[in-house]
Amino acid sequence: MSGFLEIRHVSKSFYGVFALKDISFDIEKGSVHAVMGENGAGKSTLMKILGGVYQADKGEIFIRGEKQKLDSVQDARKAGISVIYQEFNLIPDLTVAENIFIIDTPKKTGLGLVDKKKQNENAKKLLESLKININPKVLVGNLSVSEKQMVEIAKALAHDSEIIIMDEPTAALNDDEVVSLCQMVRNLKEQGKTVIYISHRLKEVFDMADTVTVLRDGTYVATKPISELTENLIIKLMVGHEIDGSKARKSYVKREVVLKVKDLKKAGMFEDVSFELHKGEILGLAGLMGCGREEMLSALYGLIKADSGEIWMEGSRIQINSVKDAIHKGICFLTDDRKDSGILPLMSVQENMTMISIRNLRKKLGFYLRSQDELEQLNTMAGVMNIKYAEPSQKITFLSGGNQQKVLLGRNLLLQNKVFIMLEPTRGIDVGAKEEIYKLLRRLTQEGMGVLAVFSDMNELIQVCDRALVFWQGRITGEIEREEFNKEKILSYAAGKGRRKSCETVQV
Amino acid sequence: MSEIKKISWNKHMILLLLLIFWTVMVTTNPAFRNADNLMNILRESAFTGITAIGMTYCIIMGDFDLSVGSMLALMAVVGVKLLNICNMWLAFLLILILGVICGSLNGFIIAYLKISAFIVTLGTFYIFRAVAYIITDGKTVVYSDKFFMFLGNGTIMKMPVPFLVFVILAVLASIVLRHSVYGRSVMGMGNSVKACEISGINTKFIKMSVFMLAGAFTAMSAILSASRQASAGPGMAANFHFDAITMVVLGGTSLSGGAGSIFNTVIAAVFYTSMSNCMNLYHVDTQWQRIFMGLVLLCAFAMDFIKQIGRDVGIKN
Repeated sequence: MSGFLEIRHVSKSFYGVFALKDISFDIEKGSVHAVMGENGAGKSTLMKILGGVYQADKGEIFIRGEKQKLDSVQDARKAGISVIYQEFNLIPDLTVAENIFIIDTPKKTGLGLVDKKKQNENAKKLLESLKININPKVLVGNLSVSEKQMVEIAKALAHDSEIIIMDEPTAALNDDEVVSLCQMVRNLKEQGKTVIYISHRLKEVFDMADTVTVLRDGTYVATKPISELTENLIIKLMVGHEIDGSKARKSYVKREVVLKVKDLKKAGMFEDVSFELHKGEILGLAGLMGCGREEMLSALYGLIKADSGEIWMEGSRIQINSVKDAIHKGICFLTDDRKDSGILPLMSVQENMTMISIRNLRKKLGFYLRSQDELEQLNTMAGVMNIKYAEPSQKITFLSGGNQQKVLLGRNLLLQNKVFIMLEPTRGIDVGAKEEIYKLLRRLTQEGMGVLAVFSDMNELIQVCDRALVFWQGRITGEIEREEFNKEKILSYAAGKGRRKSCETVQV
Repeated sequence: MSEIKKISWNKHMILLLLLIFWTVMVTTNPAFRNADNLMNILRESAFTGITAIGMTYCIIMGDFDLSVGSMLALMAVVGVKLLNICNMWLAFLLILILGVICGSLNGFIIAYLKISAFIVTLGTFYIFRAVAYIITDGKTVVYSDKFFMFLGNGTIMKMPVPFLVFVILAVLASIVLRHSVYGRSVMGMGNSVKACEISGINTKFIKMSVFMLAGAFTAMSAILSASRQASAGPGMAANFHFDAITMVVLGGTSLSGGAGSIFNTVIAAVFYTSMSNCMNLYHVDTQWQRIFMGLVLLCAFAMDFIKQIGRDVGIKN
């Protein structure tokens, strides 16, 4: 039996790196087909190819046996494919009806003016048929996240799409909203639509999907009916081979606690966050996008203010109301967005290096910053970390990503801190620089620094960290010691396994 | 030879332009090379140039201040009124404080209420001017003390006093920009506000303070301008903001911020004044002068834009 939608030998690479390699599988008409995989497995790339955003380098796509040419979003829409992306494409200042019919706006004959009445009526009919209870005249900006999601779905269906692709639709939804989304997907199925559903969340997949396809590192792994699968089986398929992290490196964890966090809370972002960080420990924070760990770390560094909770540094309670407080108390921070919030692109290597430490220099030297003193600091760090640059006055943008990252690390290390918060310390740098940063981490922990690290690459987390905390929806759902590290465990905690109300049980 | 090569003409394009322009003018026009005329150019460059120093700070930070001309008129009329009733030095101090207050009004709204500098300073552009008219009833106010007039018109060792003030202020501002924590923070803000926040800089305060600084420099321009004319009127300095911004951009400071030089602003101020002086020498009609200056501004912006593209390409590679 050949499928309704056939994907045949699709490959796509970006700058010579494969994102998808020879993917082929079929999707049945009227089914809910889940596509699963880790971050970077290629799910979103594949969906963007189906949606006409990217063009495949190789391979073909057939619908009802006809070869499709998906060169643009318009082509995809004509082929009956609508994609609902993670980030909403709604205009907040327009009404629900205007958003739904933003493309095929009903017009009055003759003048080409918008027929508002017809637009609202059509929208109402459409929303009713989907059992969505939203007034079409309301501004989209006033809707909740889940209502926006519903409007997105309605918008997709307004074009009579046969195939609806949902890219992690539940990433921003709460439990009840997920339940109504589940119901929505079932309604679509009843109407004979085909739904391709991308999610990390196992529960939802088991509640909704008929078939599951798993991708890993841009390659096709398997397509199986849901009846043949278990949660653990899916995780195994997603992860592939096991990684044994325990023997990868020596640990320098000491007994003294350097940082203690108790009941830290910020409404809508994270709550009940309590943990201890030991001297010399690298504590990895795992979790999916939007799980609240970055926000929690921002609060520790004073970038956002927590509502309540206690922070203790080396046994004494500290208040962190601003970044300055955090720096004075011995906390430093490495951003995960080097280009946007890390480097000062038009300034020199030297100026970038001393951006934070000049505030300490001044105490010793008065108002005037002497270039020699700054140069000395630069040389110290350049020596420690093997930073390569042509001259101190060279603009930092001309350095490689790895060297830029080292400058950002050095900027913080000049302060001699006790706790280092690192978001993605090895993002966007080459293998050699990665190794050097690992080496640096080892040396720092050997000297007793505590590190809180975020790695989106789970292999890296397992390789580098001494212990891991897993976040899910703003809470810590699991703590895993180094000896017990494995991807399945982390993934299942990160997916809120066992803690989440399922669609079926909540449904009335 | 290598020393000469080290001067990057790309960085000092405006100096090169000035040298070429002066060489051509000095050799071809006897009226231009007259020592009095040259001194006059230096003098005139100072009145707007001093404000352009403050503007350089603003633009390096990625913002600009359209209200400086109105602010100057307001402070000049208030200043002359004060001079008529109190001690001169006290009056100067009060004008300086008024400048800082006007600037902090701009800065507070921009930094803390997060409204764009364009909107805010366009608003105060009208407000300050209107207040100046209300205070004076639309009339010019006069003060012709001898020492006061010396500030705008006199010379010390054959150099015009306003130009000396201009140079001293420029040197100070340049040192602060290059060699102080404050200057580094301002420069950093033009590069990435987020990175500055993460570096523990109080970004809102820095932003407000730069507008206060712009107000203070404008206050000094106001004192010197009033002294030059021994009077002040509410309608004075109508195109002042335009001239100041043009000088900064001609000096190579990028409108998107992040880099710039006070030295180049000084050179650009002299260059800009030389051009308008030269057009006066050739009796170019005022409207045609405006057209020409408008074109100069457009060219300066276009050059900034081209540099920007080059920079983006550089970052990508």
